[in-house]
Amino acid sequence: MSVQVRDFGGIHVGDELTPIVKEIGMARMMAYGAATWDFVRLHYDADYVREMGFDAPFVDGQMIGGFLTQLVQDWAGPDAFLRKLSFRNRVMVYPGDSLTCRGVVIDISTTEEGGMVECNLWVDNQRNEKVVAPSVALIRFPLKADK
Amino acid sequence: MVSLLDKLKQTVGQEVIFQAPDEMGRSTLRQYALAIGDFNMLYLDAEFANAHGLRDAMAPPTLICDTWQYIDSDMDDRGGLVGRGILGELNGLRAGNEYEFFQPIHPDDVITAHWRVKDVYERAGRTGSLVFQVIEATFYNQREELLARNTETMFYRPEA
Repeated sequence: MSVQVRDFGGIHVGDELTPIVKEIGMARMMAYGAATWDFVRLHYDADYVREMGFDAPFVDGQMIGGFLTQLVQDWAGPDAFLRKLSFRNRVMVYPGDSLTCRGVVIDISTTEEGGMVECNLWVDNQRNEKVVAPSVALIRFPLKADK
Repeated sequence: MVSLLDKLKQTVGQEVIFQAPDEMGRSTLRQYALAIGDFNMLYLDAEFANAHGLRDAMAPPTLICDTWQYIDSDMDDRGGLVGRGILGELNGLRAGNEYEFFQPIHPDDVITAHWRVKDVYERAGRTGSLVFQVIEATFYNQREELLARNTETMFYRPEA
């Protein structure tokens, strides 16, 4: 498996992060609940969910944060460290949805901490609804002298 | 009858501290990576992580912000861990999160989590009034090193 190591000096404002697509299924939703010790029935129990007034079990909104982290870390490479990530959930995500996660570089700066890159991120579903927006990530890269 | 807004306002300033009974664990990292479908070698391969400046495999960053693994308790009828205390009494929906990560988290880290209700307020939404609750969780390891902070905003629909 080849891994891309991205150099801070080669990043420019306007660069697009390589999009990733995440297919949502009940098995993945249940796996996420188990992996986070979150057994809340809203995310897998259809009868319970309908009793609570929802159409179907829905994705834990923080799972989208995991997808956005994958988007950022895959693009930034293993030498980069995600320092901040914020996001607003707009639309519920259900089994059968297909999510496309995208991003673009909006700011680049050099600080005492390292090379900092800020990106706007967003997530669309298969109906072109904004599932998550706005979302902002701040990524730290090593400077040449740090290596 | 106490309104939902008043009930939630009573939680402002309340803090709950959880001490994990054990380490994060290597398989926990793999299980979360599987759930997300993110098989980054930083999370799975200690040698690869070493080659990129880490002392061991690192946890997928958002894991610490969403896991309840540091709570040692049974679950209730809703599937929530009883030990969550005030954090488990209400079922809000998620408006969003703000994460800040200070250093990588490793399998041998033992987590202490400080959860504090920061604010409660009411706002007009598209379909009526909504009550928002802002909760901040700060995570440390056994060396009292600051690992991460998660500020999450939940919302609730007041009773008609």
